[in-house]
Amino acid sequence: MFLSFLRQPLFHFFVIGAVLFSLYSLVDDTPPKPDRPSIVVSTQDAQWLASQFKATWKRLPSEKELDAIVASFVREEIYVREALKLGLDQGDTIVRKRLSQKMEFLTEAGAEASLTDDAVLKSYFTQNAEAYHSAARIAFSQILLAEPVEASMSAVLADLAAGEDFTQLGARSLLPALVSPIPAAAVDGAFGQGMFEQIEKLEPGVWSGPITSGYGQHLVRLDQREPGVLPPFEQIRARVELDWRHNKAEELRSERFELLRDQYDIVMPDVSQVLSQ
Amino acid sequence: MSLQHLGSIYPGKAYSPYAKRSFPSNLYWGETHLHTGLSLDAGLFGNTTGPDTAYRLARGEEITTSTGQPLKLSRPLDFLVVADHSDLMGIATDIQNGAPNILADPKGKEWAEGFAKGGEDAAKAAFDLIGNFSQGTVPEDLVEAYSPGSPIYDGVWEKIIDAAERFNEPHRFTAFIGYEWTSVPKGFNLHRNVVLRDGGPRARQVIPLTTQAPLGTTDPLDLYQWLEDYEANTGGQALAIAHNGNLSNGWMFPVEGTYAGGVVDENYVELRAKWEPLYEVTQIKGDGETHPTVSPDDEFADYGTWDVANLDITELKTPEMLPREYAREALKNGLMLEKKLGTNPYKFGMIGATDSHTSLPTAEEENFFGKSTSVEPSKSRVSHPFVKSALGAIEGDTLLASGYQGIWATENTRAALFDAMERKETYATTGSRMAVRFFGGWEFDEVDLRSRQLAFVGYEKGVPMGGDLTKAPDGKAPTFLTYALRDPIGANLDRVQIVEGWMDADGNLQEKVHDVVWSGDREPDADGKLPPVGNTVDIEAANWTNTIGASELISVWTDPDFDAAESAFYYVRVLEIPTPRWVLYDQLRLGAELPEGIELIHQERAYTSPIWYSPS
Repeated sequence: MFLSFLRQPLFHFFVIGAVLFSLYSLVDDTPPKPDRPSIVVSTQDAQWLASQFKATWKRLPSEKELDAIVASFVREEIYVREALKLGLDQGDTIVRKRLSQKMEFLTEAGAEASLTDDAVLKSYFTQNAEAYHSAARIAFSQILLAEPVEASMSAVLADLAAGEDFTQLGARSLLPALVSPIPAAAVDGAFGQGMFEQIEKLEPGVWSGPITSGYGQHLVRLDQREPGVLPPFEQIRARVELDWRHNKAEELRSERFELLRDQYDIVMPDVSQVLSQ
Repeated sequence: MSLQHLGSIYPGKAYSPYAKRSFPSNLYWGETHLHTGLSLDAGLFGNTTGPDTAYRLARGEEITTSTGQPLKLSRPLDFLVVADHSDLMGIATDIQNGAPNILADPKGKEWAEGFAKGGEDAAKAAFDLIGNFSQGTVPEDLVEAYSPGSPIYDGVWEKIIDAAERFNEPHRFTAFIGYEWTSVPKGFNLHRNVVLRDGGPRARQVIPLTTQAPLGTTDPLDLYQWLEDYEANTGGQALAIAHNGNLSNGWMFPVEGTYAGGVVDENYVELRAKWEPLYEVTQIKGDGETHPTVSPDDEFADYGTWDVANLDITELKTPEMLPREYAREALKNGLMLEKKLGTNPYKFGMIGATDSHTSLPTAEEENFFGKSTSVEPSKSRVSHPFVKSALGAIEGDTLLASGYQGIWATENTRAALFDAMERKETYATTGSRMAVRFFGGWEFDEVDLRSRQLAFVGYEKGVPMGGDLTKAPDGKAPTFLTYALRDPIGANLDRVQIVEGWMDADGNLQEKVHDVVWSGDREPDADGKLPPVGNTVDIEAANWTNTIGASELISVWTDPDFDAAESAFYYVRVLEIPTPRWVLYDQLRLGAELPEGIELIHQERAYTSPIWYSPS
């Protein structure tokens, strides 16, 4: 059996190949493959990694920590390069998303750094005055009326006329009897939609009703009405500046995107056809 | 008003009921866990909106969602934390900071200097940089640094800070600066949201902690160190809030070893207690109060239960994992650990949040925009699995339209709300905005219920939710004053319960749910079980009526089996009458076909922060 194997032509072929190969490697004096890639983590790179660490931890890493960080960086670098070789970045939604997000941030970068003067901000403030108007606020007192409303309302009104303490009248409720000045959103948040609008219109200082809330019918006395005001520019300069900057960033982004887009010829499909197929 | 009447409002104080009143009298609504398109996973799911959309919607404006649908909240929120994932978020542009690798390149140096000068120079530098990018003439080493996989991040953190600064309007709307530290080793959810009390100047001094090597870490102890450093270096304040223990496969509330390989020792319990005053007990990915296996005697325990597996369904759930996943059991284990190690690591208050990845903090059934952009309202969202692997699936219909956080505070500012969170004067709801007060003391009695200003009595005679009772006076048992007022546009209330947990003399952990006040004239049966409140839900019309239940419920309750030598906690659970789940609104408005056997109605609820009793 063994001998017959030795007589196989294929076996001879392998033996001859092996011999040739070992001969060749003995005489071959060409240097090892020149394209063996290297990863050099320079002092600068390590400094940069250390500064990244510092940004998170507010201190420099220890030697041991930096060692681990550099090792981990190398590991990441190797995987990234191998992944790029394999084209794993191609058609990857995460990579694409990330890249386009980075470009987007770059295109607005200037606005964050750009300085502006008060004249510009003031005119922005004037143009957008509505956004800076404070909300109107009301303070009021309320009595929740027991069912049936008609009867209890006249009883409560009679008690009020007799000088009774209003906080003790009507149906007992966990709703506040006295409401300090709060804006529409807070009034409606506590009593239900539309409560602010009904009360705001009442004659101040007089018990009126019935007023409808999410809990039932109330007698309400409007105690105070503070209209919304436009604060002076100086008071909210910081806020105006933030808004202006944000606005500017958006402008820059679309402006610069258009510039980039203009460098391309873009061919679009007929969308309606795509969907009808 | 005559002076003799004042006694009923506020005995012994000023004429004006508002003077001398420093206690937190206002209720604010919001949430601390919202993702925008800046979170990479949110972006991948198609979220094209950022923090602006989130804030505008939260403060009451109508916006357009990523899927092009108009959306407005039923009522504005008072506060919001945009908590985007810190991983793959990043650093203010290295160019602006003049990072070494940028400065090493002549062109990079030119740009960095331009940015440093600011103004037009900065704009020019940015433009030149973009020009070079688009022409492919950026120096090669820089291109490499900005290629995929590079550790150079971009200005996301800056963006988040800027947006919060822009929308934070003291006394009107609070925009907190925060982020999510998304630790998820092997798919075990150990996530924490970090909330800063401070504004931009302090936030800009730090970079969020990440979880990916080389700079990140998945060990919560490292997060505590980051928080410690933040406070020490900036003079600011921060806290962390964990969530979704139900997807941690037993690692959220460890009692012996931690997943990171540590042990639950004195160091661990002290740090956890210090940095995690709150727990996010309910959100879209399930409710985390308790589990029917852990609380078999609690007939309402099986609400929003997600117990299939870990976060990515790579390891199925087993029953022995459950006790270390749920809030109630953790509160109990906390008593045991306090006895053993001197500190209770799980002395947390309760909050709800959405964890929505749509930039849309929607937690109301009739206005629910889902967990991610892929499940914004559509005819089919209810019947598609939300997560699926070879091992199992989490079905689309089980997404919970939950939750929000109520905060009792003095005013709507970052400082006041944050401080209220620190002292745990907060509670969770599954989305409706019921007002709930909870006070504990030794002297509350039925007479207090006649007061028309219960909060005055509550603060005078006791401590609010999140507070502590110690050293019971001789022969006294703790008394609890509770009140609940339904959401002004929501459903009536079924009942108010006090959930009690304690460690008995033998060191065994016990729990009991007490019905303390309920609507109507129902009587408990021989076993003490209260009959159900009934059901008015019209399935076809996705509607209900407030003809059952009560608008408000108040009670004073005394612990009947109190033992002054045993440590205990008490928290309130409020149940609404049955109402339609979001799936019925999908059926009504979109004609969605609902799979067989799914939950159509539910009882929304609130969980308050506990009040703890300790013997010494």
